Amino acid sequence: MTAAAANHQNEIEALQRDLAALTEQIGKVIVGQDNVISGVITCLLAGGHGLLEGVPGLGKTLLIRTVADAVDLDFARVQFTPDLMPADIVGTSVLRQNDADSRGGMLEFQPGPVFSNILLADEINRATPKTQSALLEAMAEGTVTAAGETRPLPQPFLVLATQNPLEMEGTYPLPEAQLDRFLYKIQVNFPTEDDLMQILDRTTGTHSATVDPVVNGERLLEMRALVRAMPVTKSLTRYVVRVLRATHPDDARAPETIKRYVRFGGSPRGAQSILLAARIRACQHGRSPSTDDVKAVALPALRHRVILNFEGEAEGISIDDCIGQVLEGVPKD
Amino acid sequence: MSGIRGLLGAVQRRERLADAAVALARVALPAGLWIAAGALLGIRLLGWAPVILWACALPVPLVLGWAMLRPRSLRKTARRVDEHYGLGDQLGSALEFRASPPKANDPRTAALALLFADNAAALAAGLDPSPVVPLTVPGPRWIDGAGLLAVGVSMLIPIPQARSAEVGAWCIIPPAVAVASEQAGVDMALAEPLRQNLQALTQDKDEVAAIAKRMLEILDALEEGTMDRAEALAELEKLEEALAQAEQKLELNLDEDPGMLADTVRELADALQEHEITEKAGDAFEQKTPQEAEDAMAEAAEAAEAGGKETDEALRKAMEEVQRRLDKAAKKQSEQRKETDDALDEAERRLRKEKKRKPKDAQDEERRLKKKKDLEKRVEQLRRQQKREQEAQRRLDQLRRQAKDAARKGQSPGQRKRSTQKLSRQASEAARKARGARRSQQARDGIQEAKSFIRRAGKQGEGQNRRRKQFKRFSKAAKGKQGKQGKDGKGGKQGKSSLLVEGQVGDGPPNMMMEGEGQGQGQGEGQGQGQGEGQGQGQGEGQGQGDGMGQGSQDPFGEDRALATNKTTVRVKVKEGKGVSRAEVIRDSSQKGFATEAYRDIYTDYRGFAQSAIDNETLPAARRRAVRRYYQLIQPRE
Repeated sequence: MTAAAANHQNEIEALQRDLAALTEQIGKVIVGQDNVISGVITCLLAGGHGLLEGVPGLGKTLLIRTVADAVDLDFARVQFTPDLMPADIVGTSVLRQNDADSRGGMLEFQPGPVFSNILLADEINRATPKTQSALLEAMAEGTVTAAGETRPLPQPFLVLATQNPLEMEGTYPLPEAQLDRFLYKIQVNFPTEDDLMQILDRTTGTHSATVDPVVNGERLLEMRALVRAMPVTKSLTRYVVRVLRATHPDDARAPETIKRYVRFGGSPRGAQSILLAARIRACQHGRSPSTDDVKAVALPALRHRVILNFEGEAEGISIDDCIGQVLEGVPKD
Repeated sequence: MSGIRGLLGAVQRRERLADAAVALARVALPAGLWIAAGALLGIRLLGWAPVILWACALPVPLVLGWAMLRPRSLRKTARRVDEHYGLGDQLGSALEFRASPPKANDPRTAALALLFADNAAALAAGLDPSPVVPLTVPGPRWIDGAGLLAVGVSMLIPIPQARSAEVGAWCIIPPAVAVASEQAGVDMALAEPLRQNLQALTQDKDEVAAIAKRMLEILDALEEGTMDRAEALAELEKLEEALAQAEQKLELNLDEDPGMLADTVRELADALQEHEITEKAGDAFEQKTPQEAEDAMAEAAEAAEAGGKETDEALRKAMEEVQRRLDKAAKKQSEQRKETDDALDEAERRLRKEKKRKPKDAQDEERRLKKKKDLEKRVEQLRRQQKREQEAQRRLDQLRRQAKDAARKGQSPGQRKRSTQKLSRQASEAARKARGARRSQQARDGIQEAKSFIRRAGKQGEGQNRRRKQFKRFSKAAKGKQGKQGKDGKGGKQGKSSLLVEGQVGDGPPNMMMEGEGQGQGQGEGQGQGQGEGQGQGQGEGQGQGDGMGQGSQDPFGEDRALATNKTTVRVKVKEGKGVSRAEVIRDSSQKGFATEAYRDIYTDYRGFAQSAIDNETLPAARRRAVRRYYQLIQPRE
């Protein structure tokens, strides 16, 4: 092995170590939910945003806060409510008096919570579409335009949103454009019996866990660069494209379920999300990305991008099942 | 990298083997069975060339060729190995990275690609290709069983007889073996009766004898292998032509109908055989030996003259019977003559009609002339036949008159002797004339039988040679010396075999099985005089009768594979009978070991010969029925 190769090998091993430490720190607070933790870490490494969906009380908010603590980044939380205004998120200009003559003053921009490294948008679907749209620019471009001035957000910037799938009254489902900007939509499932016992032990006693930061922003950016340097074969790229195209009902390879129940398939952002997430997963395993990685990441990367038609909604078709059929049917080179 | 390719190459070789095994079991086997079934059906029902059977082997090279030559993607094989060992497509990715290195702005991408390829190569060195592709042969399916069943059913369909002789030409035997087998000669064991008949025909000095002699030479050459079957058949065809010419010549010279003469002589022989005094003469007439018959009649007449009144009366009664039988024959022959007359009238009528008919055109005229010529030929033939029948009728009437003279009461023994001798001269003259036509017919039958035999002589080799030897031994044994009357069944100590002799007597209980021992061949057959129920008496072979199997038949064969037999001297109970005995020697296995061929096969062979004989010979319907009934009775039960 050459020196350069050994160096790269070391870089990969360092990344694996850091991620293991990060997972360990999160595990001090969060019991179980490995997929959710893995998904959030993937969002961190990819620089993408995550939408966590689950019923109340499953620790979504706690998880995000713990992640923020572990990565030693600025963290802000916004509780989305119907009366929340865009300015409450992006910030607003306030008049500042001139102390000298007290006759004049100037408008000063007061940044909102969006100007942080990790923004927790709690119960994002409770805000009005107008307020939700305030995040569009921030999530897509990493900038905020307010009072006629565009301001960059600090890097790394990450939105981790939560939403409750049960309460429909008084909620505003996220528009497709907004959803598409999330890298992952992570389903937070109810904990298992053993996990629940551990949760009770930890939360009803005197035990209090302290999360130590193991990764800072700079290291996180380095790690992001390494994952993006992971080589991908052409056959794998072609496979990802085929998978994405097969989620569209007019594609030849689309399974019958997709053709019948799906209105729109995944966008190109979906393919980008899949491949990026596959790179991260392969890097975590210390090898080149493969179709196994694609299959593992395809569900959270596509489930919020595939839109069912009326018939599919009416018949209660599961999008996850549709994507599963796509993954089964698409051939490999 | 060579490590990855080496591993993938080994996996691909195993893939080819596994594919071959699966294709053989799943495709070649059922396809071959169904093709074989179809080919068998085609051969046996549609007359296809038997070489088509080779087609059933065709799927094997096809599927093997497919398995070995089918192109295989190294990438897919790599994916298979990766999936089996859970490597996350490392081998496949390494192949791709080597083939086309990834292009990216970050130099680390290419470096990482190389790193992963090296890691994969190191990984491949420690992998075993065997578990990746397990070599298993799939189990049978219903379609295989159905194919096998179809083949079995197809094989039950008999091969058409006409084609069975051609088997040698197409059977799946290496040519060298086939040639050697052909050169080994044809087994002529079953042709022994034919040889004997031909030998009998060679006694005279005429064209038929020459033909018979030549046929014997052909059979010998065939047996020795100096002539093959095709040549033999060609020679027989030539002989058949020569015989046809001889028959034509004979037919032109005939002045009496030989068939009617033969019927007359047969009736005469039957009548004479019914009386003891003339029995020998009757036998001679039946055997178609006119001179012997004449001598026997003269002997009987002299015996009657010398024997006194009782013997004279016996001769008279015999002559009465002759007269009665000849009257019956005359009645039958008059019916036959009437049929000939009717046929002649009909032929003449049609000829007249054809002569009068006006043709429509030139073509019709041509047809008319041909038909007219045929009818004229037919009329001429029938006229000759009519004339011969008239002559035969005249001869019969003459015999009837002489029989009437001989049977007249109140004659002196001398007068009866002269009448009888005159009758016997006329009868032997008739027998001689009938004999010529009969010899010709026998020669024709011989040719047909020989041709039929040669065509059917498919089996060759040791088995048939052994059968030939067995048949000869049997024939020799069956001709054993006559048993002497009134002696105990005691044989020489060196007797090697025992024969079971079935006695058949006129008025005694039938079917006495008597065991004796003999020196040499068959001596002692039927020896033994009765104690108990009767005393043996009889003439000819194996006389004597009784009420069942004699004692001492237990373990007659001794230990198998040993030459010596367990000899037991047995006193046999016999019953007195009057009639003439006729012996049948029953072959037993002590002479030559137990049969090694299935009875069904033997039966099929002989039935074929019998059928051929029935078809070729002019046998009365009653005789045909008897032969058929006989073969029905002896047919295999299982």
